[in-house]
Amino acid sequence: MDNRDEHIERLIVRYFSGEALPEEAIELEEWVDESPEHRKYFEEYRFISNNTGQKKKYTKVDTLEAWQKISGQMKPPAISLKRKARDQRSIYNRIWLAMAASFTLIIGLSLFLIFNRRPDNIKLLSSSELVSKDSIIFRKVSPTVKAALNRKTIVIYSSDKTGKKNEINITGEAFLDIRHSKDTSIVVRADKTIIRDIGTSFNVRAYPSDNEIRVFVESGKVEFYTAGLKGIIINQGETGIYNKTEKKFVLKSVSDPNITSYKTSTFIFRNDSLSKVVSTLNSVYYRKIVLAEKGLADQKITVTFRNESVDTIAEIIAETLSLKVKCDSTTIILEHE
Amino acid sequence: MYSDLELVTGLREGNELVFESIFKNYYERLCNYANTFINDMTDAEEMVQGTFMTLWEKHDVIDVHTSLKSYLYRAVHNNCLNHIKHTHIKREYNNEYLHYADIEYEQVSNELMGKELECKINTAINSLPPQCQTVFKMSRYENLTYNEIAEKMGISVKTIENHMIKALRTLRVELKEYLPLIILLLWFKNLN
Repeated sequence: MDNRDEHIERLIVRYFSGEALPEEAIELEEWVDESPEHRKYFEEYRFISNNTGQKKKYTKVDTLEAWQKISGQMKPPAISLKRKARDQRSIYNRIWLAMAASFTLIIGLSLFLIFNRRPDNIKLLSSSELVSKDSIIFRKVSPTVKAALNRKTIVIYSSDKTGKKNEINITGEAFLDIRHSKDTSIVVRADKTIIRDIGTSFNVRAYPSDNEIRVFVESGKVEFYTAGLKGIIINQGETGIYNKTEKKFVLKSVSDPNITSYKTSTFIFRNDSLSKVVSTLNSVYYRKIVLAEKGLADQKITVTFRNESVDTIAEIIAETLSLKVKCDSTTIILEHE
Repeated sequence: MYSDLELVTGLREGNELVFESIFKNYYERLCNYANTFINDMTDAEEMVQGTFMTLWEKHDVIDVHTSLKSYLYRAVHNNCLNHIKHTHIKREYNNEYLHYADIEYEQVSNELMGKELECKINTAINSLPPQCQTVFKMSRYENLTYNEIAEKMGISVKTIENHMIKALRTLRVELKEYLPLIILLLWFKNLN
């Protein structure tokens, strides 16, 4: 064992003994990132360390989930100090968060009721608007509707004055889980299309830049139509597509297994080309994967990822196809070894 | 693709995309690092999230002298030391400080670890020289720092460190037939 090996071993032991200074931890992690052999050596020590302590010490963290939690609490840069302090405390207290969410909901509903008392109120009043910007967010938009919003999505929830007729307007992509209620009806609008549901969960993809609006039904069934066209009925597992220029509806009985990956953090690939895999992953993760050579695009892969960070996914792909991974803060490059 | 300077500048300007990029790049690593001090991943995650929230709240006054990476690791390190200090004070207050002599060295239950492996680990620990074994147990099972062990045993911190290296090296050698299997199992876990 030479001096370098001894130095690394010392760093590893210090790290797993809770003694590593910041610069030592950084040096060690950079060494681990250098090669799969280094990582394997490090993981062996991690395993020994995990199994010789008072309790289970290591569980893999879910960066995406943590980011969703954090980004949901981030306020725009210019906010008052009072709110800043309140927001920071909220990170440490999930119960408080739930209370805050309920409070916001109550304020929203109160405003809605106050406005509704006015005799000249319009037929539908906007009671809440969700904007996801660059994050994926999960929210309850009404007592009967839960929503997951993909990036760059706006969901507007409106009700009539009795609260019985409700409308959800989607620009972007959102997954809706709607609980059936005898007393209320919900109509979902995306661009010019209308989706009428009867207690179900479904995904709507309607980005203004796309020429298609896609509705995938996870459970139950929906009617998918426009004001002038009768449209189609979409059953569980099916995808309905509306072509905006041709103004035509098409029904697909086999749906892409990764339609709701942004919500589930699960990706299923079955003998899919690497170019398809990369484009699916890039539509969900902020950090983008890039193929360094054109020849890589047609390589096939069968794999399932659940709750993995994009770095881990890239490493697994690289390992499976004997590729090399190069990273920076926004891009992960896959290239031949 | 951001340089370190661009990241710091973007952060100062309150650019959310830059902040997201920093978060996603460092979150897991910082949690793993915090966990080496705190020994509880849930607490480690809460702490790292708190560190990031502070970073966001104070983005306009952030003062990075070295690299952003060093800044983040230093912030997490400081927060961990404060957390440990706080936990110790709380323990003393509650009079729940562990009596070291009475601790049962109970092995963790790990889904990957069978009886045979557990037995192997115990044998390997018991085969260590007496002083090395005591140091290892104090560090691993009582979560004492090198300084605390050195103080208790009246030997230098450097000697403690050497004992720890020897102990982990021995365990790695003794468990070498299991390690490839473990890495393989972790690999399959990732695939399924």
